[in-house]
Amino acid sequence: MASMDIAVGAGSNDPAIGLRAVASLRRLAEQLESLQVDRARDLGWSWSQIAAELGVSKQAVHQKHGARAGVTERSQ
Amino acid sequence: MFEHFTEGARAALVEAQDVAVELGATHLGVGHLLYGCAEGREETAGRPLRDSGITAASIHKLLPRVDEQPAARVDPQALHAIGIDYEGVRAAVEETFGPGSLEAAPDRRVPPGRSRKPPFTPEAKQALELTLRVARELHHKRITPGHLLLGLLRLDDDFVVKVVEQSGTTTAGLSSAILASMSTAA
Repeated sequence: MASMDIAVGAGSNDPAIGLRAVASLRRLAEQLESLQVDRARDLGWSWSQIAAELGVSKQAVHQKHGARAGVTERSQ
Repeated sequence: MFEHFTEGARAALVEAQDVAVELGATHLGVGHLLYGCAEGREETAGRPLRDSGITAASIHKLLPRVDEQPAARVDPQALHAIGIDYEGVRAAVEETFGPGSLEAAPDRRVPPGRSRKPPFTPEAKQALELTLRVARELHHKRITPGHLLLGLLRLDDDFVVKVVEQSGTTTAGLSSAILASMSTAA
């Protein structure tokens, strides 16, 4: 925990690290989103249900992730 | 042209598209298609490639990355500095999605000025034409990832040849392995 406190201190002092953390979080969130959306689609979730959980519009989530889901939709 | 593609072959094309976008490529090339074939957990292309020691990860390392930006990767140390344990996140994700899943997961943000559906390079188009020709010659109606891979091998492309030869096999050897998996999968 002590090492974590030191790290947090360094993060708050150095904008470079703080900014890099922001960029990393965005990237991480995007990767988690792709994994979760693809899985939800595989489990039969509708775009509306997924959009509601993500707090975005159905159109937005479909436009962003639809290419992957279209692969299974078209062939069924 | 894609109406005879199986679910697996379409998935391979989507993987190719995802990796092309991820690497900042303006076009979907032959290397991206090869990656797509290796990424699938199916029998006709994925298995012969795996058996030759060619994996999506090993191909990924050889694919060129166009103007790499710091934001295109996660910096675990920077996350640690704001109290986020990246290794912990990764372990939790892998519980559900399997080993390596987080690092392989696509980032589907659209870079400004770039399309999420990059057009095919002329070589990639040629590989698709060869794919259809291979299927016709074999009298196969459905295009599987195996046919796509045979098309890529027949193209005699430098990148594909390099990947195959680095694994210690030959394009001829790999082709026979694909044909063998197709006859067992059918």
